[in-house]
Amino acid sequence: MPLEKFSYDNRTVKWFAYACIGWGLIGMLAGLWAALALVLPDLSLGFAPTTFGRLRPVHTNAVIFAFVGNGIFMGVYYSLQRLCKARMFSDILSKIHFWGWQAIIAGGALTLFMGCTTGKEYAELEWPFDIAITLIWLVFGANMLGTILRRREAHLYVAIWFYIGTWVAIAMLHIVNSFELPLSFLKSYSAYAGVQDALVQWWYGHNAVAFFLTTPYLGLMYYFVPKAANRPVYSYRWSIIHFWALIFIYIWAGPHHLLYTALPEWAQSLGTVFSIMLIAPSWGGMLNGLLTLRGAWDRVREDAILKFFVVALTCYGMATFEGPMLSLKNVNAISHYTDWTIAHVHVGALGWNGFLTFGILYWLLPRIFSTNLYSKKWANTHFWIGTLGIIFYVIPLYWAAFTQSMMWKQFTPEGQLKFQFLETVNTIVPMYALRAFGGTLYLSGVILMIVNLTKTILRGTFVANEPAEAAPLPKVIVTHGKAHWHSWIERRPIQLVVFSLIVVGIGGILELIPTFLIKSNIPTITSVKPYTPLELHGRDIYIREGCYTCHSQMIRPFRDEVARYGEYSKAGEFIYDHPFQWGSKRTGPDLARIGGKYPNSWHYNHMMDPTSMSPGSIMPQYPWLFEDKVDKTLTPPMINVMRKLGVPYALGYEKQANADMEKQAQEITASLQKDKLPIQPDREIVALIAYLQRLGKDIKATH
Amino acid sequence: MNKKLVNISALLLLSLTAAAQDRPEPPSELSNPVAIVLLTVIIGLLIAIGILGSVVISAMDIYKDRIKKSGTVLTILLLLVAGQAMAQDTPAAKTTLINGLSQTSFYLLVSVIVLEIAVIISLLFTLRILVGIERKRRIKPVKEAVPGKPKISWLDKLNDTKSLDADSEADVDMGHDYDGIHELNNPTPPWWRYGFYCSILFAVVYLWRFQSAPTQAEELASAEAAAAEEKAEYLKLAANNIDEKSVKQLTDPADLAAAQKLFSTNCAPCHGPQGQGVVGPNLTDDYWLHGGKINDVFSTIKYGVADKGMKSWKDDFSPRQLAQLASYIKSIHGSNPPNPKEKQGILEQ
Repeated sequence: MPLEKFSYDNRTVKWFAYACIGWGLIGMLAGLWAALALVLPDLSLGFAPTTFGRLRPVHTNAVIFAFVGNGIFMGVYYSLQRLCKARMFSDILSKIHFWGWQAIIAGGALTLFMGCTTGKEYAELEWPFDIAITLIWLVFGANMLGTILRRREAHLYVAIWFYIGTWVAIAMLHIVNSFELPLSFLKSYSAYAGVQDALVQWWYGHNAVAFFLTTPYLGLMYYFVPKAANRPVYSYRWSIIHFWALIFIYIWAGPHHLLYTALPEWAQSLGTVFSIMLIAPSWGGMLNGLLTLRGAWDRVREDAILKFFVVALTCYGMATFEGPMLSLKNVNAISHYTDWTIAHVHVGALGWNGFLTFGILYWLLPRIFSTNLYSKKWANTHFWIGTLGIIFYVIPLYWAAFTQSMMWKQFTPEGQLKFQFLETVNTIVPMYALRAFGGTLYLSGVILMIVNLTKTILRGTFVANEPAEAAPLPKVIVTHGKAHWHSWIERRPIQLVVFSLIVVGIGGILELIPTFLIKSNIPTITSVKPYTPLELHGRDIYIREGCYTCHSQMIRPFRDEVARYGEYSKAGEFIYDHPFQWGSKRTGPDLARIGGKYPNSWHYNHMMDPTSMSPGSIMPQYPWLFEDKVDKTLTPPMINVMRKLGVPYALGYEKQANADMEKQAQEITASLQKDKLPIQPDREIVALIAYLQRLGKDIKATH
Repeated sequence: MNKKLVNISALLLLSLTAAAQDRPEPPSELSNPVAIVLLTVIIGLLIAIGILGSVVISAMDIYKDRIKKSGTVLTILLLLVAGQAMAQDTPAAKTTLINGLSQTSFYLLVSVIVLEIAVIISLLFTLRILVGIERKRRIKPVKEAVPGKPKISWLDKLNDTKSLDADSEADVDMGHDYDGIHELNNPTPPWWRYGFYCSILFAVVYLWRFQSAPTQAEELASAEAAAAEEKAEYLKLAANNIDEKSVKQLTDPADLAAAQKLFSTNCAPCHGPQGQGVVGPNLTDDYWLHGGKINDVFSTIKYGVADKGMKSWKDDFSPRQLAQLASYIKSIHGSNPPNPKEKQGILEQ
């Protein structure tokens, strides 16, 4: 058969590589800033966009969707073309994909700094971005599938299975989790409430880790590790088993983020057992990668790229063993809400995603610039600084987590809590400082890489269209190599898409639908009433400032938590919470029952300067809440949207809402006035106080 | 003759284990879910032993010339095992319950299972030796002839990562070529495979156990009960039983120093570092909102005044600490700190 001549598109790969590096730097800087702010709270500068609550979503979104996201696209665009022996389906789609994604990231970062957030972790971007992400994801899918359909290679390599699985699962997760009703151009409310919202959100959140940080990177691993090591993949059958097992089991594990919460216990148990079953499929990926390096270990000593790959795979293995352990209820009782989770995810993010990306960048950029890496020595230095950075990052946090959790749970012989919350925070602040040092090391390694790669690029010549040739696909595809039953689906991309959708869909359907339909999962509490208009505004402020990044609203049924925060949280208390605000980390204390615990004046002073009420507090100051006014024009649509979502406000209440709001605001200002704290009733602080004073109170009305 | 011996010893073992499984079960314990599972496992394993045993025996039949050695080994092994099974049968006193089973029954059942697993492993081992010898002789006579070939250790067997040399690598090459990437088709390491099966087994058992495990609320209730008991024990011993009726003003400097520390971290935010009053009232003047006697102050701290923003501190401080605090507040009376808050409440000297 005559060979066809064509060329690979390297330009899009280059753009994605640059975007990956650039956003990576920004995302990591935001992370470092946030880490330092925990040690030096004044770093928030009394300026809303630089408070921890807004920096943290910027950091997480930037490193996940911008750094890793662009890393995925870089690797996929490079490897897919070569594995399919075809140029990307459409240069225009590639362009739309690239610029669309960057526009989403830039706009997303900007709006997150402005405080526009849905309040759902890792899905903070507001509804216009959710739609844009869906569209760009479809463009990516069309471009990828188009390329696959026009391939000159009969069978799809394992890397492509992972790309397809990723695409299908992310599309499903993103769309289901993003059901929301817009209030204004940049504000919406989740269509789900309370327990259901929590389940959907962590089904999404956990699988964002699975299908954005794991499966696409496993795909990249399957291409770049054998390429860089020049060794055959260790086991084909292993890749089949672990691919299908991984995507099937992963989707079920979301509820392990909600152990000991008000989530129905059967769902929690499913989360636990599927997490345990995930160990082997995850390790299958790690081991297949590491064993592929057999016969190349002598080169690992000199080759920085292989070193990065080895540590990346090892970190992947550690994180995927630790994760299931954290999903056991007795371990989770210690680890949850502490820095253990943060350490755990950073083993994955810094080690697995970061190091694999760096290895790929060092391998790929010199190739598309047809030159050699500027300095192998610098790359090795980067490797060692980065590794040290990871160690300095995670060990202090593990230590901090253990210390704090043990302190939380200690009682005196008289049966009193031994430590105030603040004491436990102040004990671990030195660990936070060490963590920031680790982050600085890691970041300096990245900067060294940027210099090294820039020098490499400057001395090379860019090959925008790399010539290639291959025979076209024959009409009848003959199985290559040894026969294997799995090669049936490797020849059929459409079936592969459909099968992966079914496989990832099962777990989601079986967990979500019962929670939505079975009433007994969320027992009704009659005294729980909808929020007042002022409290709704206060809640929006709470979400806007990212309070949920440091404060939970979910008291677990433990003796220490009940003693510290009050009666444990019940599922029925959250039925009007669109979105839920349970949080996942307690840098500050739980707020589920903060209502009525302190006088209004305490909250006033505390938001103005937290250290005045809680000496030693590391919470930032919120001076703008005392100047900015609540937007009254939003009250009627807010009531309407909430009613549409099922909150039982009487018909026509939207007309009366503003009057009610003013009345409640007047009451709060009057009480503040008594304590010589004059404030206008239309200020945001009044709404926030109203919300905080309401939290957790409804249930007490029954007693 | 040897075959008979093996058969007899296997039967002996079967009957013994069967006896062991029935004997520790009083009828009430038979209905226990844990017991049922353990018994099911025991029976399942017994069946496996039976099948394996007959396989081993027939394998031995084929290699009569080799039986003598391995046959005796097996007999000794089985006899040993059987002896152990008998040793398990000593009755022990019922003390604590494990999952609703008495300790004796639980450990007995578990050790029967362990024993059975040991038997299965030894049978498998024997079978492997027999079959392995045969296979090596038939298929790879050349390789066996290679002198100095290292013996495969149990660790390697567990790991079973093949294709270390170019020859065997060519054996398992799938013949794929994706942009220069080749794929071998090595087996998955047995430890990984069995680990996966174990995790699935764990999942099944966990979900099944979930039916009978205490709920979160029950866990909390039992933790609270245990804590209350501990606390009661402690209070009986300690001279700590102070309430608002029995409280006396303390004057010991150590008590007051301890109280001052508590005051500055907990009370100062609202009452000022010198008790001059900020959000909360002045504590140093002659005016009191809720009574100025030591008993009243103690009671105000202990129960709080919810509608005025004073929280109840009884869960944060011990009775002794409450007494220290109340005494400290009495001790700063009349200290006239700077910037005092205006008078609130009733004059009380």
